[in-house]
Amino acid sequence: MLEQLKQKFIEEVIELLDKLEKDLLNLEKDTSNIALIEEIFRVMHTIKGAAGMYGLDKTVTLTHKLESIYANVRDKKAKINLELLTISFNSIDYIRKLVTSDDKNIDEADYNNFLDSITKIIYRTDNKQVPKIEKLEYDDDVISFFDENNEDQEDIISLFDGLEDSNTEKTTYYIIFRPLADINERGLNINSILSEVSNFEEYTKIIDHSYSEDVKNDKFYLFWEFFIVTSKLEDDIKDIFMFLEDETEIYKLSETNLLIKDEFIDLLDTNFNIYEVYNFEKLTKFTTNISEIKLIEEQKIKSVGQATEQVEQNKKEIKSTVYQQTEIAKQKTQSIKVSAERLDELMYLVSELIITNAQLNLYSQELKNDRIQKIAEKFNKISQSLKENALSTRLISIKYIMLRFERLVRDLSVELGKEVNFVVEGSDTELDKNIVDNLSLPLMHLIRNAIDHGIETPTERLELNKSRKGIIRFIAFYSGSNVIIQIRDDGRGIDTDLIKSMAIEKNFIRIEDKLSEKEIFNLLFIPGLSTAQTITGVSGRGVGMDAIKQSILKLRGDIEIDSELNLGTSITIKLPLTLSIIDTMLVSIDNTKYLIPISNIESSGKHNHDVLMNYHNERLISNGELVPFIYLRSKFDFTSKPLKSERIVFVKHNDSTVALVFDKIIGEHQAVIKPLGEIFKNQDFFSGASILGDGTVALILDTYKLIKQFTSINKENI
Amino acid sequence: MLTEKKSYLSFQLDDEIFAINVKKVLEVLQMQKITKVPKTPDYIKGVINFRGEILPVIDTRQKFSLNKVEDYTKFVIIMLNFVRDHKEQKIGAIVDSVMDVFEYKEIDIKDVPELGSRYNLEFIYGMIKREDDFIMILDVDKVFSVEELTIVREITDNEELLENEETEEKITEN
Repeated sequence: MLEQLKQKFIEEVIELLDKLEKDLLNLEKDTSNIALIEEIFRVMHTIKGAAGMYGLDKTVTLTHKLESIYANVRDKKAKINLELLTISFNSIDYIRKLVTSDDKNIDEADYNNFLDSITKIIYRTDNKQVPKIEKLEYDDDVISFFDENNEDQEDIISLFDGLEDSNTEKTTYYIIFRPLADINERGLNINSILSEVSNFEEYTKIIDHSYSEDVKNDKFYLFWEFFIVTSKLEDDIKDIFMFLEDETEIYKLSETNLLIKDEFIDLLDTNFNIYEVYNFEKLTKFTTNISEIKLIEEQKIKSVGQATEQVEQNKKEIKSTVYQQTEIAKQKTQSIKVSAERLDELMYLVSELIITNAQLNLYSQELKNDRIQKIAEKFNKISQSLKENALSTRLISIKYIMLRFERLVRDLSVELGKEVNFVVEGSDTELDKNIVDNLSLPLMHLIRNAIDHGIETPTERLELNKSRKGIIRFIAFYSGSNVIIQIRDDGRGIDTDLIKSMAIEKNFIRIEDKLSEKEIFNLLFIPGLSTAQTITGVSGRGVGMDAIKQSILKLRGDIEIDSELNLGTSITIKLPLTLSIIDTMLVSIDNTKYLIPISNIESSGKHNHDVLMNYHNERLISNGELVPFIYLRSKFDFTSKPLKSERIVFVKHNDSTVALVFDKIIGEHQAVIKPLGEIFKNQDFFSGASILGDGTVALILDTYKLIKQFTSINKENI
Repeated sequence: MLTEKKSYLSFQLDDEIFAINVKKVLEVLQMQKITKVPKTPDYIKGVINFRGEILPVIDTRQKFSLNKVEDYTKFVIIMLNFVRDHKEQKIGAIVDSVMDVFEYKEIDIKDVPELGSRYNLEFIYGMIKREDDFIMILDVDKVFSVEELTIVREITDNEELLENEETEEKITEN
């Protein structure tokens, strides 16, 4: 149980870290965004608290230090700069490491070094001279709250005269604190709470309502009202009243310091009533009157304002309904978390249903029974929409991986001394979880390429009359049942002449070959020529375009390059929405059935067997063009007699067409893809298998690999 | 423990009788259409749909280098699970016929004598004598974890080599 909780905790912290990373990236763009700094501070605080609960001391220490830095930033003692951001990003990585390894497996020395580097920054920022409003001294005597019958308004402490404060970011909070009679029995000390409030900030006002109504019965009534002006967060105030949530009400009165307004103080003074809290409506009305301040959470305050006119109990109820309402409102925007495993299971069950549905269809057609056919049709419709529904639950938006890329762009451009503006469009586009998971690596390499080889250094760019900052655009959008992802940069582009000469040098093409621009770009996908360093002369990159293409093809996708010298490069990736169920064409050779993904098919046709066999060089003539063909009957070692008329399926391969020869084309089949299993991991022709309506198995052809294996078109005459 | 009785399923391959622990057996299936996967070793007959999973079926005679036959229609497929690389896997094994399920005490299982044995002892868990028959108990995990094997010793190394060469040739041809 504890393990489960811990797992959940880790997941949550990782999520928080992602959020923190996102916030930091935004902060980097807008370093003066106070709200963001506060948000960052808050998230750090939450992480620290959660880690503390699970005894992850190292995480706590680290976060605490980080928090200190941002406290300084918030208090304007430190400025956001590159150093600070870099250490923040590194800290996020470090905390991730700490949390996932349960604070163990961490090199102590390494950890201490890291802490030191943060401490240095804190030290530096702490010693900076900052303009600060002199701290006002409290008169110790005024903090004497427990004097019962102290009806004197002088009890109100920390009265500030109209010291005009430049610090407009301060917020005035209003707190009503009504401790229950058993507060001391619960081990809570009112005095310490009160002193905590008064020490909380410079601007604090405590209104004491302690009186005894019935001295004989020794009955005391105690409650307080606090006004706190602070730039700290609401959560920090809530921290004081921890374990007292039911006995406190906290309201945000104004986003300015009300305690420095004479009118406000006057209002408090004149309206004071020992037996009653202030009329809330008056307070709020007043706050709107005295300045142009906007009330935050107006609604909340309003409803509370009405509540103050009612009896206390009612008030409490309303407060709780307000609380509930906001909670419900929050819940609506959030979605349910479902483990990936459960979704896989759902998908599995739906897949089984699709297979059973195919069986039902097959037999209902055979039976020719109207009633059964009607049921089968209905069942068909329902399972189709169930399938679509289940598929859509597995879709996740690609923004989940975008964060990593933003970080990558940031780190890499700093490292390479380039200035890059990373623009993301359509990050809400959704893809199957499995695709998104497998997409991040190839996309990362493409983005890395764009920064490393595409975008020029600022000086180079200025010489070329380009803006200092390069732009990398990441664009995602739907196109039919596909998702298109484009990565465009406005960098140096690809030199087609250079690729051509490289290809000639490496004997991939001949000097006299006339290649279209597209064909030249496709040369980049040939292993051995693909590495961009040979083209741009920049080194330090591992993965070639060939590997990227491979991984995209594995996702049943496709990739294309387009580029113009000095204007930039655009890489287009086409992906299916989902991996587990695809539309296929069912074909057969010698009664063995195969499936071809429809997305790969261009067209189909017939060919006489003898004519086919008489063609030279395994190329047939279709519509006046020579098309390489693969005679699968012999390639797959079938020994039975061929049919007179062969069926041809033309499939796309890069930019060319290849003909696959079968006995029969049976028809379309919605294939639930199943893995072939361990024993077949070394075969290269099938990407999986699917169960047909009659319960038998058909293999799904991996046309790309098949063609690569059986033809030589990759090596010569593209 | 050693006196505890365990259940075994006996089956026939060529003129030999083997047995496996019934715990390893998922189901015995009638022969059915097996989808051949091209460009795989000969002993892999292909794949079938077993309870929604696509599972390989192997020709046990061929895997054990026993005599091949042409007509499999009367044969059966024993669906087994076995452990390979600490992972549980499922596989179908074609055998001539299944005979019966019997119980036997662990203590009564004899070691197969090293000398003069026809069998590669690595894959044999032990031996039982029932009436006039000697039954070899197979170590399922070991038998199905290796790619190619010769369970019968008398098949000479030369023949095995030849077979391997043949498959290699096929691969290089393509």
